Amino acid sequence: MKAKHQLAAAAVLLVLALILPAVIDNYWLRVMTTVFMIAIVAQGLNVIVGFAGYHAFGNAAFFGVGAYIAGVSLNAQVPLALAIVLATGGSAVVAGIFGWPLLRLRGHYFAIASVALNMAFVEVILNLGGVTGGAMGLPLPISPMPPDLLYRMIYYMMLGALTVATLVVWHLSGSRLGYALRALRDSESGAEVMGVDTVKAKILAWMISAAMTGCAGGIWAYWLTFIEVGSAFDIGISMRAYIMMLLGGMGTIIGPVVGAFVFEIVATLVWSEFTHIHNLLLGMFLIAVVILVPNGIIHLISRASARLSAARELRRAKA
Amino acid sequence: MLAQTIVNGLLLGGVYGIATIGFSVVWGVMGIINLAHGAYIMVGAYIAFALNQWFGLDPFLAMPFAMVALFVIGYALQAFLLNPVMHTSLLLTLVVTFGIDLFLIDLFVLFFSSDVRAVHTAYSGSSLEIGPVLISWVRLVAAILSVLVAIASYLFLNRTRTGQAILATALDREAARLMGIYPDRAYGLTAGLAAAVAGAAGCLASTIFPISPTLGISFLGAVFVVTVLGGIGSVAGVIIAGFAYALVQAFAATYLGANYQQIVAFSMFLLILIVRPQGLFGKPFYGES
Amino acid sequence: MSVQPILSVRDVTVRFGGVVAVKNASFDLMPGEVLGLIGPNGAGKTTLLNVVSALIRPQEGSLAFEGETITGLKPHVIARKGVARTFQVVQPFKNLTVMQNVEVGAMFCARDRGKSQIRALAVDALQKVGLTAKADALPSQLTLSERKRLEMARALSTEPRLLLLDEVMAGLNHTEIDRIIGLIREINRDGLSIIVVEHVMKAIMAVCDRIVVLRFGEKIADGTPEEVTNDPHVISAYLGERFVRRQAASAGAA
Repeated sequence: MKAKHQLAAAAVLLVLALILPAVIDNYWLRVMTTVFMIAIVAQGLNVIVGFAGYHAFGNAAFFGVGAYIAGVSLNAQVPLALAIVLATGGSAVVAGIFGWPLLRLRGHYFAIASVALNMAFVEVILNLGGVTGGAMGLPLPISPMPPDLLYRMIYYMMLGALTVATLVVWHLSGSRLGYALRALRDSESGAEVMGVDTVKAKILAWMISAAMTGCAGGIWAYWLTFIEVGSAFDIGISMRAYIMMLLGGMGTIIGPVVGAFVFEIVATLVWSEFTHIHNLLLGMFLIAVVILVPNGIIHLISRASARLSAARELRRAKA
Repeated sequence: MLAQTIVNGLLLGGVYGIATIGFSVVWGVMGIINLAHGAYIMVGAYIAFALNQWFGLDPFLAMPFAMVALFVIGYALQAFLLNPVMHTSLLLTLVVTFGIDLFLIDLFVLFFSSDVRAVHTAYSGSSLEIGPVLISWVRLVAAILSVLVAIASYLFLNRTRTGQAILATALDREAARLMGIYPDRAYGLTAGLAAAVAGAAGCLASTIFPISPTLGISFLGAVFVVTVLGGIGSVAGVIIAGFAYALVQAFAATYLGANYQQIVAFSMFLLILIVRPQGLFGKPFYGES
Repeated sequence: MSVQPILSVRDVTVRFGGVVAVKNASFDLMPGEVLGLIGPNGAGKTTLLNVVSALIRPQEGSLAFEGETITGLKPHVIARKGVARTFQVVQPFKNLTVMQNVEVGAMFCARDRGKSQIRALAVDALQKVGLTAKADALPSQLTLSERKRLEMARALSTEPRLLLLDEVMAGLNHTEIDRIIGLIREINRDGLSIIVVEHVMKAIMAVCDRIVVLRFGEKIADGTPEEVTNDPHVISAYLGERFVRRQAASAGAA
């Protein structure tokens, strides 16, 4: 699918998402808010995995970092908007610091190191205690807003963040940085000798990726009003987002969003029926996606539409 | 205290070593990081537990049964799920093995519940006393058996035709094909044998650690560190690294406190990855690019 | 001499573990010159190119480009200074089109260019190597000869003053080789200095002003094509000691 078409599709989805809270109940409002949240994480992965080719399985690290920055800030009476900005920026800074040594590693090594980084953050927070709450978890101030209004506001916050993240990815796909990343994904030394500062490009990509992920984590913390390391740094967050990105199509603009929607809706419908074996089903789903649609839904659609237009051409030629 | 700490480390080193061999060889030969490796260890432990519960079989004697069962599981998963994915994208195998891990853990929760179990034998509590140092019989037997399994794995890979075929495939898939070795079959065998050794490790672990379906998750962290420490794909390196890791852990537990064990492990891991990604004792022989 | 060399390599040594890949190599390249770098397999030719483009850092020695020391700089900095190269094993960006592949060089090496100027540079480079018709193809749809030329177009799009060509003719047939010889001459006429690493001797003789011969990482000859091909050291390096003895014997008999 061309960028133009993807953007048009994104615009339609956005309009639908804007009017949705008027027609759905609180259960589906929560499901959709979760879809947006995990879609932001998937877009974050899209930048570092889809564009740069660095498989950051441990990106949940930044979800947790964002959540804790937002949590600690909100507890220190920082206004919500600023707390989210701090979560976003702070996560980017953390990625910048750790990206410098870690992004020298390639392939599996980087993937695993990113997971280790995620686990290391858990240990650090557990041992840090203090304002982070340590092993006890961290309660956040509870909003005085009426719940219906509050949850709608959080819905729009997530939607807003997802829209921004998608616009960033769209901009990236045509930018110098986007070219640099796709070039180094295919051949790092090839890109270097053509003048691409690969180290800078990779670190920037991870910072953008972390900013998105951290932002989602920050809003999530505000939404949940209680965070602890187990759920904030849950590797399952990056794994789910990774699958959504694959499912939708990595390196595309709206693929991760479509993937998140499909995955989360299917999961929600299945979860409610089989809560006791949901990991078993999730495992089977992961395997099925990798084997059946490794290039993602967006590519399936482009291939189908290419075939359709080819058929149309043929018909026109005959007529 | 120093002597006891060293003995504690040495006794567990062998178990960490054989828990890691399969993981390391699979990574080295095929370039696959098998996130389900911990689940294989868990399955091995439950086989020992079940045979002990139902037939009163000694967990050490359950080893051959667990090894055969896991060979079949490992071979089948490689042949049916992983080989096809490997041909399209090596990195996607990570997702598949993660899926297998989730599947196996939940399956065992379904059958055995998530309760923590233990395998008891007549000699479970008894120890050998040498001066101030206590040596648990169970741990001593487990240590000896693990070293034997490790030596057998090493000899298999380096001294038999099949082992040589596996290593040849690792070095150059195309050249191996020309020599009449079918990579897919070699991969199946590698995965099967790796799972079998993990099953043996599971039996040994069942005598030392409490068992639950998430047993493998706690092992996987150690397995990663030991693999990277020993040099990916090197059996000898893994064994030495297993002991090194267990000693460091024992010292961290004794002198810093159990809380710091994990931090020490992660720090070791990240440091080695960054400073010496080829491991302390080996070099990767799988060309990643 | 009043003219300054565009590239000077001084006492460069590269070791991989215990193996010495390049040993005390020194040579100069004058502006506008085409220098051939030849030698048997494993002589260190590609390693030397990697040193010049900074993909490998030498243990000893120094490099200067247009009089400025460039030892220790990063590859992308070297590229932006005007040193471009091709790879022996072609390394196209396989998910970018041919045009986009070439645009990368123009985008990152030519400072302060707008989109249209980048496109113009890429179009120009593609036209030079004769790939204009394939601009929208993916690298996987190209023949080997076309991929080698894509590699050259990518290098040219960086607007280099020094071009390093690593076996751009290997695996090609005679017609394709002649085409690339013509291309090298044309590029050279535009003022580029070129280092050619090649096994195809016919091509080396046809395009090079000067030849440096390496053997086991050491420079064993440096001179015009005629001088080098008549040098007994070179003949023995290439054809073996026995051939030289036989030559000498038959010369003595005559």
